[in-house]
Amino acid sequence: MSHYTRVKTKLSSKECLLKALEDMGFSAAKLRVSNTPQHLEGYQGDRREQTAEIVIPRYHVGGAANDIGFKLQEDGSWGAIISDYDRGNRSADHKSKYAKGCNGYSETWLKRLYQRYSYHKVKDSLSSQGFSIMEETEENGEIFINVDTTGYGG
Amino acid sequence: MIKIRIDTEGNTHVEVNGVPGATCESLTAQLVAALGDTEEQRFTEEYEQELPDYVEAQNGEE
Repeated sequence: MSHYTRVKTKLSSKECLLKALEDMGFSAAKLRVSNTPQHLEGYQGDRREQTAEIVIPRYHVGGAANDIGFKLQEDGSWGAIISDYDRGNRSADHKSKYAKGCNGYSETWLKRLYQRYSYHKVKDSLSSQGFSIMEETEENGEIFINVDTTGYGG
Repeated sequence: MIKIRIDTEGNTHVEVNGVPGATCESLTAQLVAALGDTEEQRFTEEYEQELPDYVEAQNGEE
């Protein structure tokens, strides 16, 4: 039997979000992570109204940047807080291969982050259910994963 | 086999093939629950040809 499902990504796992941020060039050492929301800072060190539990400090964002935040929402998902300036921040020097070619922290950057998040989420989900990955490839910016289901009668 | 494609928007496409009926559904449900919100779910063309009435009924419920 065959079944096809398309799943819209929701950033619901803090662990996978942190792994995705690391892929995008922001390891744990470059983040401020707290259990309670902290105020974001603007490019002059000013305290902003917005708060977040996961923060990329402005000095790691690049140029005259503001903090970037990820705030835990009421539904348990994480929402990104990126200033308009940083969405087009041309001083952002993306060194991660996954962020190469992104203009600042634009929609493209966010989509790449979502893709890395999905990748880690898929791998964690498969691993926790005892599946092993047979093959993993990338083509035209998309990630393909083949999983063995022999133990499930396939 | 499970074929997974993660597109450039970060959405995940899951296709489960060659697994007995109930197991296939349960397997898909487990994966989907772990991943996020389901946007679209259907039986593949191959299966639709095999059991059209059942598939039509299932898809109609969604």
